[in-house]
Amino acid sequence: MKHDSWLAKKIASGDFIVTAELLPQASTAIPEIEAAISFLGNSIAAVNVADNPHGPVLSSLAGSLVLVKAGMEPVYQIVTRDRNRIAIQSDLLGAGALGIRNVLCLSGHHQTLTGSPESANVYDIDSIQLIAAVKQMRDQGVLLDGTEIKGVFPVLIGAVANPDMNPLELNILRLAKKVEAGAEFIQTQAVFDVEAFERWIEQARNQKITENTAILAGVMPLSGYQDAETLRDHYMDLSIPDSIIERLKKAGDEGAQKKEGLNICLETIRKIKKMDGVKGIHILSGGKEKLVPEIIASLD
Amino acid sequence: MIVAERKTIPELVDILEGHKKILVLGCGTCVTVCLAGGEREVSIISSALRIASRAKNLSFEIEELTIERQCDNVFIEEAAKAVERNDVVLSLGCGAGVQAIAERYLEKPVYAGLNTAFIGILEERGIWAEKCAACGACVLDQYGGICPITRCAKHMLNGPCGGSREDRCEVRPDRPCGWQLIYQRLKGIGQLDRLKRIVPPKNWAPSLGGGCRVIVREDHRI
Amino acid sequence: MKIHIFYCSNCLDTDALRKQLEINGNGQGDHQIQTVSLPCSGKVNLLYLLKAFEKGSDGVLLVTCEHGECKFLEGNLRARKRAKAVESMLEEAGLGKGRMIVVRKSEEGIGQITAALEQLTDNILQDTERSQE
Repeated sequence: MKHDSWLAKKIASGDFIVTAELLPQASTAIPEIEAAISFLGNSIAAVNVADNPHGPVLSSLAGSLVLVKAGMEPVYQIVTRDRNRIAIQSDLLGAGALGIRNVLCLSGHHQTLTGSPESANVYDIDSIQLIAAVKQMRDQGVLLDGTEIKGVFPVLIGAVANPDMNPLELNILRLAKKVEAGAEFIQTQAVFDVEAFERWIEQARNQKITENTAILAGVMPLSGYQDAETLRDHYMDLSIPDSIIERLKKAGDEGAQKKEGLNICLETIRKIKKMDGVKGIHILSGGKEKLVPEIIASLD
Repeated sequence: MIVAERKTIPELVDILEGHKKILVLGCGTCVTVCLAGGEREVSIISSALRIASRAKNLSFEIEELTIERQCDNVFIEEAAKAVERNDVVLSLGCGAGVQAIAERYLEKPVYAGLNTAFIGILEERGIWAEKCAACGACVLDQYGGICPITRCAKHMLNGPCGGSREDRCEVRPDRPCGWQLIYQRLKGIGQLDRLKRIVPPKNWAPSLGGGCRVIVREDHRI
Repeated sequence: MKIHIFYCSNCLDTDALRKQLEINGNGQGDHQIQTVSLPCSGKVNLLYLLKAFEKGSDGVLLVTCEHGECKFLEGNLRARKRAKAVESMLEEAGLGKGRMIVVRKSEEGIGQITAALEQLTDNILQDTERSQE
């Protein structure tokens, strides 16, 4: 066994996997994270700790460590936006030493889309190069420059995909490369367009990608039509169909819209669950970790 | 060409305040072509500075001159007399031009009047766009002649990011996604297989990350 | 006040303009007005307009043809954009807004120019007062 990860064991068991995202705050208060963790509960396989998605917050590495201490399984997210290969490998070694056993490799929201648009652009390596670097550190026990790593680095490697990115050929080509580079699980961007997702997973199946990696479909409860519109307009990697926005609008007042958002999310999960090649879901609650138990409870 | 654009008049006034005799020095090469620092722009900026000087009682005395090329000593010499009779030089050359003038005329303050922006081309009238980041180790052969370092905001070498759209970049919605262009181009020339290869991390040492770059050609030295 | 009027000679007749403005050959009247005839308003560039201000003009009026009626097709459109660039440059240089007015000459006749001139002198007056505060 090259990795020593609870998430890896869960995936191997064939169970339907549920992971959820935790968004750390601009805070030094550990109890805040612990509170968020308590909402997530024990029924999920792993908790992703986002790496400064919208600007500086408590680090993903520190957040992951809090999870480890709380007896939960973290997925340590690393974006290539802010750190060069020296810093990234150094943090990875730290993560290994601290008992973090899952790493998610991504490029991250570009800094100009965060609250710190004036930041310098790093992007020394890209997400696929990061996947390959983690794999090399784990399997060959060496850093990118060939330096031997003392001790083991038994991590499970994850990556992300956006099923809505077109053209499909380019999308799948990139997904295949991520898996070839070493991604053992893929967490997707939130799915709203279920048909588009179905076309995507079908292509992934046809190219036998689903056999070599565990695909966890992203799902996100929308809190209202305004929230949906803001997300759609601000992040081009999020594709929210007009029909969904209309449904939220028609639902009525704020509370009703919130409920409808949750309904849409649950419907999406039910449809996705039936699809061949989907190993689980990844709940992107956008900082609303409180909603996670409700989603999980409805999963029969 | 090197593309630049002028600093604002308040910025220039800030830089020049306290000086009297000012030589506004243009360059006849790249910055002339991109309409930022040629003879005409020297006149325009000088004129605006004179207006500002009157409006703010600054008593600027401005002389205008444009030489063929500020980054070449042969042409820099042509500015010698004008530099001598003024207190300071406001260079409308690119960053290289400004520094070449400063190195030649050690006793004079030399200021930059432009913001040097990028290496690019005129895409259409009034629109200049970046095409090359001068990374020092060209990869254009692998990407159908479209640079992923310049044209992708994340310098991705292995494909687009999740924010890519067929008609635009997530970071700059007014621009196409460089990776969509690379994909279309490679597909068009029958080289899509190039994209399937996992490209290892780039060596950035030949780029600015490796410090100030110098090229030495012994065959051109005595 | 010192005013420059740049005008396209295809839409405005020099004699009629002078008569309307009641200025003599030296440009003397209520204001010191200098008229500059152009083969097309598109002939103006930033420098033309800036030079007028540099030489002491308090305001500039630019008269162009109606949209779609430029003898050179798009000269009037370019003139408008250049005037806009000059206006923002003047603002940068410390002169206030409203000292650069573009008039699209319509069928209404030359009275339009007088009205624009009044607007311009008003703007200049206001701006001068503002800068003296």
